[in-house]
Amino acid sequence: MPKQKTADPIQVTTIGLDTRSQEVLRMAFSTAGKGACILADNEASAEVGICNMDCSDARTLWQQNRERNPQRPMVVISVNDPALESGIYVPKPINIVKLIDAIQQAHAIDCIEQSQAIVTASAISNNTRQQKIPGNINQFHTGNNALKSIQEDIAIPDVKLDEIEKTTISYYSPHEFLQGKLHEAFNFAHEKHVATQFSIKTDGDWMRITADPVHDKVISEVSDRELEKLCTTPIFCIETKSNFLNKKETRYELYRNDKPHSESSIDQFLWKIALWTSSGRIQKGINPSSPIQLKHWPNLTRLKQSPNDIRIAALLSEQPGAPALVAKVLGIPLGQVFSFYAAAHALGLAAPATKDKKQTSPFNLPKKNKHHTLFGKILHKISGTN
Amino acid sequence: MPGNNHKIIFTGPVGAGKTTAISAISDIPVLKTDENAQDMTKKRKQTTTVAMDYGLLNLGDGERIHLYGTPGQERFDFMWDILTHGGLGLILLLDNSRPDPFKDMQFFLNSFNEFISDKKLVIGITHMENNPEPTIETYHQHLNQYEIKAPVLEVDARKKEDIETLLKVLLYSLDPWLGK
Repeated sequence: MPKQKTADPIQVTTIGLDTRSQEVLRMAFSTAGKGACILADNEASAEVGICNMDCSDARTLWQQNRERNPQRPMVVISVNDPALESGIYVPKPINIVKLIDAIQQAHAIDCIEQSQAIVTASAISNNTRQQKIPGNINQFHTGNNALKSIQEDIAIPDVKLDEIEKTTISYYSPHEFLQGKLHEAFNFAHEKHVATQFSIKTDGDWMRITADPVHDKVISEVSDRELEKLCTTPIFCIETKSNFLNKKETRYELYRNDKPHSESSIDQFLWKIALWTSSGRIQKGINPSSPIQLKHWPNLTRLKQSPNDIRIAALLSEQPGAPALVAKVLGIPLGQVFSFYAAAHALGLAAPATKDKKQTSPFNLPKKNKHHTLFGKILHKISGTN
Repeated sequence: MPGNNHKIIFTGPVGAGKTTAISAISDIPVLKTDENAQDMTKKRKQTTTVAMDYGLLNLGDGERIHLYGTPGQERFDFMWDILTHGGLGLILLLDNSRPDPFKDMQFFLNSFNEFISDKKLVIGITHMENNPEPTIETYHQHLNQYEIKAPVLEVDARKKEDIETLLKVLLYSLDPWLGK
């Protein structure tokens, strides 16, 4: 006669698992498993066993267990199918839903006293989960359905390009500013694999910016405050000169300490120069209503932060989008998108979208995550914003 | 919802800085299970996490985010899915000083393939200060082979601001509407 089924958790014992692994299982049973199974306090009360066939002496332990408890249904876990005569095989890495399903199947089979509880290697596939197991197994299936997340249908604001507010847009060309000259000098140095020294005359003194592409280093005697001012000054108002350095001069320039200076990588330097040069303006030739694309995420932990840079990168990394649309979707000033684009473009990470992408990929508004409120709280926690 | 079971998972090879990263942002001292390193892991650090690391972000009103660190040793791979269940996203830390960090990346991408396809992945590269190669750009090139577009950022796991930025990038990737 079958054992009487109850809603009590299935008592499980383990063979070949160390205490830490048992603790992980205990945790998984109580959380993801929602109490469908528990680790038995003593082996005698266990209804189902889990045997780790990858432990040392696994075969011996398995055999000993079968001799002690021939009737106890077993679940075997292993990287490779151990091809045992009995036991439900669950491949590693273990999926907790599949493991609980296997335990429940083993328990159900035991309940109706099936004489052959033999399930082959593919038993715990999705198909097998749907196969009919004798008995009222459904009541035990807290696994799949209960654990599946349900996408919330959150209304997304309708955003249309033609509704974008008219904004006064300022255009600029990097070549009309210090950025253009610096890029030119740095690019040439990069091509020749030599360091370059770029000098700017401020208050009668020549201040040096040394860039060494080999060591990816920029040494600047010009303070950030001064540089920021210079970046929006037309280049014809600034006296500059540049020259290349030989190896000996490069070594000297990189390590001398006679003047205050700051150090950065070339990307860090070019990024901030582009941000300052843009200052919310858009480069000539870029249409605010035409899509731009991001090659990949900038290395934002090592680059000068700008407002909403992570949000802009998150949106553009998924798909190309027009600056005006990005600003509208995120609810941020258009100038912030322009500045981000300028900085990313300076590192070769952003460019106007190719014609193919413009034509075939309309902008898909991202969905609000079902954990939107929760994420806002995490954000508030770590940065004081939401 | 108070009493939730949301979690953020930190994974990566031995010595990549998972425990340190969790410690950098956790509201509680990180619960970690260390044992003397064995075999090949011994050369990299004296102890290694073998079960899991656990930290917590208290959000107030009883809401909490669990921070789980997966074991760095592959022999404990069977626990990974257990840890990822209920996970909001994955932070993969890769050690740039290891002999073949791309092989590590491939291993973890394969191991978490199902989770990554459903959720979001952010990659933090550690130990770049003394090992600038391979570059972030090279990681992106490798990711392209898997058709994965994930953020890759240089991080120092000891720096709270770096780990917070990783977390922000993960959150905004999951929901670009945040902050609006």
